[in-house]
Amino acid sequence: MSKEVDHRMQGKIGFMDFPRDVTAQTRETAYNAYNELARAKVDVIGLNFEASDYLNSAGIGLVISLVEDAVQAGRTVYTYGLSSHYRKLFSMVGLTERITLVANETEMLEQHGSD
Amino acid sequence: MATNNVEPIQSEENVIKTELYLPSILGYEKIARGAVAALAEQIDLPADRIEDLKTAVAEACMNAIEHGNNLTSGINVTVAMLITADKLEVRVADVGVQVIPETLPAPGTSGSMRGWGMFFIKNLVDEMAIKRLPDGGNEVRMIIHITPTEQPQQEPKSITPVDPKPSAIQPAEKKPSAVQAVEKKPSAIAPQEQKSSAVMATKTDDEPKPSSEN
Repeated sequence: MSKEVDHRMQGKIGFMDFPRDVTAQTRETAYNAYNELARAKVDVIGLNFEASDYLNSAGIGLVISLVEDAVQAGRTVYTYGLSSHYRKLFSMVGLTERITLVANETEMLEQHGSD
Repeated sequence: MATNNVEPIQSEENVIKTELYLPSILGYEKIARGAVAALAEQIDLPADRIEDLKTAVAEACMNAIEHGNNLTSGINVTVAMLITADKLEVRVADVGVQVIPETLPAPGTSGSMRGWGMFFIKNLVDEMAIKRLPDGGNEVRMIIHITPTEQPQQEPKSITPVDPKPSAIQPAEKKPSAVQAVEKKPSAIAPQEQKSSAVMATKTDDEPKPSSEN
C-alpha cells in the first residue's frame, strides 16, 4: 500500500489522495502533491482520505498547513472519506470552518458544480 | 475537557493490569493504539470512546517516544492499562529526557503546526494528569469512565436474566476475559535494534513547506 500522497486533476479541480497513515512522514509527498496542483493553478482541491485510517496530530497539523495555504490562495477545499472520529478531530482544531466536509468525491463534484 | 486531578488507584486489588513496552521509534505508538482498542472492546466501551482513547494513547506514546525518550530505540516507553470497576486508566511513561512543561504553548503556534497532541489528549479523555516520576521520567495518565453497562469482565459465570422477556438492551454477556493480569516483565514486543525504517523520526526544523504559488 502506498505511503505517499498522490495527486490528480480534473479540469481546474485537483485531488490529493492520502495514504493509510497520515503522519509526519507524509509531509514531503503531501507538499510535493500540493505544489504540483498549485503550479497547475487549480481552483478547487479535494482532500481524499478514503484510504486513511490513522491520522495523528502531526498528520492533522500537516492538513491544517495545507488548508491554510490553499485558503489564502483563494482555493476552495473539500474533504471526504473521513470517519466520524476524524471529522470530530477536524472540527476540534477548527478545520471545518475552512473546508467543506462531504461524504465522497461524487458529492464533492455535485456540490462544487452547484456552487 | 479532561479534568487535571486524576485520583490514584489506591489498591491494586480488583485491578486488571496489562503492560506493554514499546521501543522509542515513531510508528510503534500504533501498537499501543491497537492494544488499548482491544482492551476497551473487552469491556464494551462505546465505539466512539474507543476511538477517543486510541487517539489519546497514540498521542501520549508519540510524545514519550519523540520527546521523553528522545527517539532512542533501545529505551522503552511503558504503557500500563488498568481496568477497575468504574474506569479504564492508561499510563504512558518515559525516561524524561525532555520533561513535559507544566504550561504548554497553544497548539499550532510554534510555526510548525505541531503541538496538537496534548490538546487532543486533554479533550478526548475524561481525566488526565501529567506526573513527574521519582526517577525523573514523565507519566501521562488518562482515564475513561466506565458506565454501569460497561463493567469489566471478572469471572465467567452464567447469567439469569431478571426479565425473561427479550429486550433490545441485553446485559453484557459475562465471558472469560482475554486480558490477564501480568507481572512486570518484558512483553512479547521487545525493543528492536536501531535500523532503517519507514517510521524513522523526521526533523521538524527543515520541514518542507507548501509553496505560495497560486
